[in-house]
Amino acid sequence: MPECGTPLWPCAMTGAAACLAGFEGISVVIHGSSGCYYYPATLLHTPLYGTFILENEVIFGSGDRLREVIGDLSGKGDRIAIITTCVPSALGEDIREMVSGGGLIVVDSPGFAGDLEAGYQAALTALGPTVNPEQPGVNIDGISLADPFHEGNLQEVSRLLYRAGIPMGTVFCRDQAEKAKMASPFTIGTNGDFRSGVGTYLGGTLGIPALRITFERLAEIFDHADTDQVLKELDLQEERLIRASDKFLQRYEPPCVTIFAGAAYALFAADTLKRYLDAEILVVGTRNDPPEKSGGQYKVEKLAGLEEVGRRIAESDPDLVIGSSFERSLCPDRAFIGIIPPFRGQVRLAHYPLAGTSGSLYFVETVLNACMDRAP
Amino acid sequence: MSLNHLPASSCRTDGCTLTGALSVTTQVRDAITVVHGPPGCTHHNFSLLHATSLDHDRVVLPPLISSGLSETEIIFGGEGALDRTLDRAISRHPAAVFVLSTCIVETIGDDVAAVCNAKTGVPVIVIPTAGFLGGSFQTGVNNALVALAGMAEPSPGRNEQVNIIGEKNLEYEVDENFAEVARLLSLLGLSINTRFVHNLTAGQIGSVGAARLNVLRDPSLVPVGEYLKEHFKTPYVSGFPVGLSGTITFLESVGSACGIDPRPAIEEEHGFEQETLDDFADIAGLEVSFSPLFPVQDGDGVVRDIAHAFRVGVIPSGKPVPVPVTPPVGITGVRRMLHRWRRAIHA
Amino acid sequence: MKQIALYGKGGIGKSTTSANLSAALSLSGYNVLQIGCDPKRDSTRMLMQGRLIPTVMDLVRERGATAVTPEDVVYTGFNGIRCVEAGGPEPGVGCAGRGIIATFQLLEKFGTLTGDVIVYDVLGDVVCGGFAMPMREGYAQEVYLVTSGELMSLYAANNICKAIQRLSTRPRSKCRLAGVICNAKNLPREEELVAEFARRVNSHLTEYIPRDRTVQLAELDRKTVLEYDPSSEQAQKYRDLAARVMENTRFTIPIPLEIDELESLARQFV
Repeated sequence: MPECGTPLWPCAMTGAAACLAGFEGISVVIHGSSGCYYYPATLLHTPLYGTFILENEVIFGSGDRLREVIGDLSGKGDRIAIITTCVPSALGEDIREMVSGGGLIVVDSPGFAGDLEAGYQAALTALGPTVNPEQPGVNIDGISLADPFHEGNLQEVSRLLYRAGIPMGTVFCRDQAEKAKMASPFTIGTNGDFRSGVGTYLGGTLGIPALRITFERLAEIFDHADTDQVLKELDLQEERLIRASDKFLQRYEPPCVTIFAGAAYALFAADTLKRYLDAEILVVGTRNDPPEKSGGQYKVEKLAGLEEVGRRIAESDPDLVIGSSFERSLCPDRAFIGIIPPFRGQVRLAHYPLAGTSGSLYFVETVLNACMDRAP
Repeated sequence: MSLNHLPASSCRTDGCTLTGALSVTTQVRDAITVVHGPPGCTHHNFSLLHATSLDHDRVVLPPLISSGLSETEIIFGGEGALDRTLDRAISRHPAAVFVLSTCIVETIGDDVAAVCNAKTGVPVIVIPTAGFLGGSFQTGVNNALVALAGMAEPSPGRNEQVNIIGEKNLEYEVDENFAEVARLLSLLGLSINTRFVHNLTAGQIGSVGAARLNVLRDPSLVPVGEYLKEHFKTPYVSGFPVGLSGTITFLESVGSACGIDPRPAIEEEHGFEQETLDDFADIAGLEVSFSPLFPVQDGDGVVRDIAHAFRVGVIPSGKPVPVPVTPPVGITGVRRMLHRWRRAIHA
Repeated sequence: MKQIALYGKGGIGKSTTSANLSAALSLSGYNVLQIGCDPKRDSTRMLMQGRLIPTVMDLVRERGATAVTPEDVVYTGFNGIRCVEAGGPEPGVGCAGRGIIATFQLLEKFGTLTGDVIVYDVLGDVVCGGFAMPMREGYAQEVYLVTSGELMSLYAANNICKAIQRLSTRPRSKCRLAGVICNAKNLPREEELVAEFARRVNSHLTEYIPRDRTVQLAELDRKTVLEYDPSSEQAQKYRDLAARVMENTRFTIPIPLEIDELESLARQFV
């Protein structure tokens, strides 16, 4: 693996935890040391359990300790999910053989196996969601507890489905555990980096053009749906977006922008700013692996380390930096908005979306305000 | 056994040596710390340190890089990756390179010391960590401090100043606590030599051996105090002043170690104590209960003594008041805690 | 202080050779420490009248590292030889390599690693970094390979040469191949074969130890040959080995062979 200097993105273990801990009725156990446990425990804001192993358990095997912790949890009646961290994973212990109990989910997702997205996918595979062809409605995926916009996205997309009279299926991954086994046959997404692979994918909800296409497809499948309501809303809100952007361009130059985020949000940001503000997109840097055929009009690079990000910002000299607090710390004097964690130095209580109509409105509004505040 | 997801056995939760050591080494501004292991360990700690520095109103991106091990290196060995990462770090011309290892690397048996010993040009200092295999958070802190002390030269002479050893760099009030100790020391006519290690350069470490006294943050730093005593003959006082009586004891200990009469300082501090008792007379007779957000280190004895001194009763049905993670430092620390109690009582 | 390590394929007689070597050295007047680095923990059994001594790892697991003392882990056996067993997990579980690392750390802390000669008896297949621990800087500088004339044990010995070669590229490493000990199966021309193998990997045959019933009888009696039948020819073989080891100055960086080179070598002596 090429050296990444100072890594800016969480490891696979965290991704697996983000996936499974979203399900009510699953108790997630981080099988490893306390050091591993504390990171997802503080990042995901949800109860997690840990085996907190000691050196002896590494040398002699961790079966007893694992059984002890699982035994304590059995009273809850939840399904148990065990995520192995680097050391137990390297030991190659047969977890299933050590721990009895039906419905056990075992995810081998150590940090060295990959990044957040890789772990999320490994956990989904281990969960093994299934479709019930009779299940009405449509699933929502792309929801990850590690994404600060997940709650906002969920609320926004459920609102749009409700307006259209389409029932909601299973939310991947923030739902009752049982619902993972009876998912609807169709799915729409909020964040393409966290696809569930469940059912037939009808489209995404990031950006108004994508929303339009997705709801037109939904209309074809759900004859009783009233998608016109949503399409009308899209037209109306996009009109407002265009007017605000146009007004901005009457006085200001289109911003030169560098974007650092997960691939899905990074491309959404680039497309949106290009479309409404005629922005110049200088850098699209992804924390994770970008999709193969991505962003035809701009060069998408994987930039997962602090030094590379700093260098690209300095080289491109942007008006606006979009990223996380790490980017902000690298260039505190530039206009900045945060779309990936961590968000530090500001209080965030409300649940903002990036998906749906409100997501685009929120995003463009934030960009316009940031640019106007920083204008020379 | 309760299903509280916080584990019951305390030794399992003594934290990671890596985080402890990093809380020390990343305070050396002109050095680079290399963490040999998968990227996650470095990211988690980098993120924590970044958040902490922002809490301390300093925008610092800790100088920390990872050898970025993936599954291939775990299976085939990671020494090559460490070697390349060290070369990268050295090419940035830091004053020193500190090398820490993670649990997985110490499981597969990479010989970190051997790879580091082959490097020349810049001091490359290995700090024994090994994640949870190497001990606790405090073990990491102490190992790092001892390793850094090894960079200091034996001092030809002794100055009249005092070192502060082993401050809790991740603590929210770290600077406020230091200020209080500095204030108390100044009452005895003593000034500060080095904050070891807090926001330093590698060069500043050199003079740690010259001080006449070391003040340790708390008794868990005694192994470091002993090392410094053995190598530089510097005596130490084994903790910050905690609570009210603790402040007076501190002045006495420091006075005794330095041959200074502490009585004028103690008298002045008694005055401050009396002023505080007067300022907070309004909470006398009230009843509180302790609701710590985190497990309180070393029990809550000091805080109970403070409550007692202010004639505040502690009973289970009392108004919940916050208890700091570590006992309040000095009378200034006590005042800050009492302000928080007063707010909680009247809420 | 001389520190030597014996590596070789499982079942080749490494522990028998180590124990007898330690016994011979001790009888010559040296203060000897033997450390078993194999989770099977039976390296020092012949020096301890058949007793399997408590292992370092078991003691730490039961009592906690802070409650274990140096006296708990070092046992005195035949002729005052000090014995330590690292121990480790059962097969198929845990991490024995980490167990070796942890054992060394503890022995360092205890100041146990003293004496005239330390003999490390190490598991045959170096499967991870932990098993190379005895070859790290500050420990065994001299590695002896124990092998018979059978192709598979030569192959294992050749494999260990790769580890030694790789370690020797470290600037400060002084670990070298000191020689090859043939623990014979009494195959025809076995001594010649093993001697030639040793030469080809850039080393030499230190001693040829014939297969002898005395060894089995001694083992059944839970003794080394030196203790069981000190006047036997086999006992003299071990004394010769001890003398060679103490006099040896030929330490080299091995040159491992390819499998086809090994096969054609073996075929030469069939």
